Amino acid sequence: MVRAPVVESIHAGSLLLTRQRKIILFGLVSAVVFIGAVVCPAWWILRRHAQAHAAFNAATAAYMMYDVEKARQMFSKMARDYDDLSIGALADLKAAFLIYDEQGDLNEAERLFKRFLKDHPETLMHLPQTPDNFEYHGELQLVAWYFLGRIAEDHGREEEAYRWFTSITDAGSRNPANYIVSEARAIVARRQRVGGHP
Amino acid sequence: MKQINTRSCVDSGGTADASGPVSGLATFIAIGVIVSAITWAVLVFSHARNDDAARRPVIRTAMNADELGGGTEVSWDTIEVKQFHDYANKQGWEDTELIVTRFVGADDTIKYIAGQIAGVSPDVIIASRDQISFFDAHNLIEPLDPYLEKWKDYRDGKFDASMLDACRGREGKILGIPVYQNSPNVYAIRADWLETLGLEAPETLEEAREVWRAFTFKDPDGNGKHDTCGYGVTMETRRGGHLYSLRPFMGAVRVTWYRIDDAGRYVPTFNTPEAAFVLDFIKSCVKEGLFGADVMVRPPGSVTRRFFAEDDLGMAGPFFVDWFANLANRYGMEDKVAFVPRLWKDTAARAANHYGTFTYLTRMRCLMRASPNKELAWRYLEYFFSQEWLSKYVSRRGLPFVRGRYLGQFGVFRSETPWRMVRHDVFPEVPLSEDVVAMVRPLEQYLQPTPMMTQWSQVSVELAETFVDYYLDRYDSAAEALEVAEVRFNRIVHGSGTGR
Repeated sequence: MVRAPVVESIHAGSLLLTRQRKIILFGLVSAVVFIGAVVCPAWWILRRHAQAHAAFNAATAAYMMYDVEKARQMFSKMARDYDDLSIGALADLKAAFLIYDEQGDLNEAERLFKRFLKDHPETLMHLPQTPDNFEYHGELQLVAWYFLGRIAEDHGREEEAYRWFTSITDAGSRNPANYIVSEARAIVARRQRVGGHP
Repeated sequence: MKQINTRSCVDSGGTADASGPVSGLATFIAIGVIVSAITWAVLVFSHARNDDAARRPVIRTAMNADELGGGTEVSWDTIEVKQFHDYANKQGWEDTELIVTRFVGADDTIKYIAGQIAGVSPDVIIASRDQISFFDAHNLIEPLDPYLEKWKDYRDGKFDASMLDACRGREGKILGIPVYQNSPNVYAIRADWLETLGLEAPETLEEAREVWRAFTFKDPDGNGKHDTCGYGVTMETRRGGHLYSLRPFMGAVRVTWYRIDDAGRYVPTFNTPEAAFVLDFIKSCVKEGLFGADVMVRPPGSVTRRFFAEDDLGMAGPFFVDWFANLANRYGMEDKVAFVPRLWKDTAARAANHYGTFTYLTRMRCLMRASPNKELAWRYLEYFFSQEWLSKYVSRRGLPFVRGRYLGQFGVFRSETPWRMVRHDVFPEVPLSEDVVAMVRPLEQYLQPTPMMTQWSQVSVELAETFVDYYLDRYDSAAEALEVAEVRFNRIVHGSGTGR
């Protein structure tokens, strides 16, 4: 039987049998496995985060350029595209906020904030990933509660509004400088002082 | 290949021998001509484009680094260039280009001057009062009166005349235009501490001293520690910061630092018994520890930050109500603080309605005299102070970068609400609280104008040093300290020891 030259070489012990070659081969295989299992996913995750931040900044830029509708559409799109990232959830809240703050459509804003709570039943934290002092950092559900309180207040449903605000102050935040909590505390204190709430 | 061609030529019987080199040369020349023509065409076209670009009107603006907002990836330059471009298109100035330059660093004035020396001076700058008075003294700034008079909006009375009057230089010309004026200054006090101690907000300096004593020694925050003090004062002299702390008290007794006499000379106006009274009042408070035991050695820092963030001051000032609400909100102190609109010298002053206060303008936009095309550069000011742009500036959640913060903080962040805009037909979307306006508006009758003075930054350092020296017992009396301060004032401003 005629063996192929490589097989012959292996049998002859000329390939992979020396210690040096084993080390080289082991190193090569390890490198490939490492790149495939660790580097590629990490690179993919980082790239995805970077893309999400770029999309978020572009939407913010549109708002700063006075193009509110474009900003809302961009936030909504990135909320769909990055629904597995906290920044995607934050973008969802921004889109709802623009409906509330710029369009003044209370019913639609209420629907969006309630949908947010339904879509995210567990506490969802958004942590700073860039040195930005002016972006919200903390539990995202608190933002939805806050605006549901504001909307209830706008509709004249004072008791419901008070419940939303006290939910925020009771829950607190892991971010000690959470301005949504600070604002809710001020509202609750004011209502307790002038509104007869306990 | 060569061999084959040679043979072919020979075989063709001489005809090819004669025509081959000729046609080759002709081809070579033809190709050369075509390539040259294309090259020339490209060069001429690009030169024409460059020439066109060079002829295109360009307005260069420059701003101090601290005019810029932070926290966003969209630069202010980008936003303003886009806004100007949109506005210019509507005005039929499509070809006008705006270039925004930022000066990053401490002393922007030097950079403006360096720009002029280098022949790349900006046409329009955003400058502080000190910078403008410096430029005015060196004849570097273009008065705006003739440009304003040609502008319909100005002729139609859209601008606040008294605010523009505050922007006049040595020769009475308008040197720049601010965006708005802050409110008259007020004090802020810890309402929760007053309530804890069962005290009323003070109305006179003596009542204030009593309240400060309680804030300092009666543990108003109830933590069992002696870690609070009555009032926030800075003794910083390197930049004359102490004078800023002193100013509300000097204002209360209607003392100003200087005036311009009929001959156009700067005359010191602070060497008076009333000013001596204020220095003695401050000194006695220092000795009692009402400003904190470490007031003399505390590193320079913002009283505002201590009041809001460090939570150890019972009262602070001067504040302008237009940005106070934003600060109080940001630090979660809205319900803990209240305004004290004024502190009278005493009950007699209150009975006589004898009081003074001050305010500030925002930085001004000015035309530089070195601008090669001032009529063109004026377009930028016409754009910036148009109703359209200023309305966006204040009504649509503020400046673009302020809008970025507003969105970032879900509208909980409140941008500064201007007290009085330079244009009558522009109103902030979020007005100040009616209660606050009702409390502060009456103070406008006490406003004391402060003319611009080139040497003020030097003078303020010397005055601050003299006054702090007095608190440290380096002069026998307040009158002596004021006498020395006046000599130092005159030495800087007039180069002599005698001023009057």
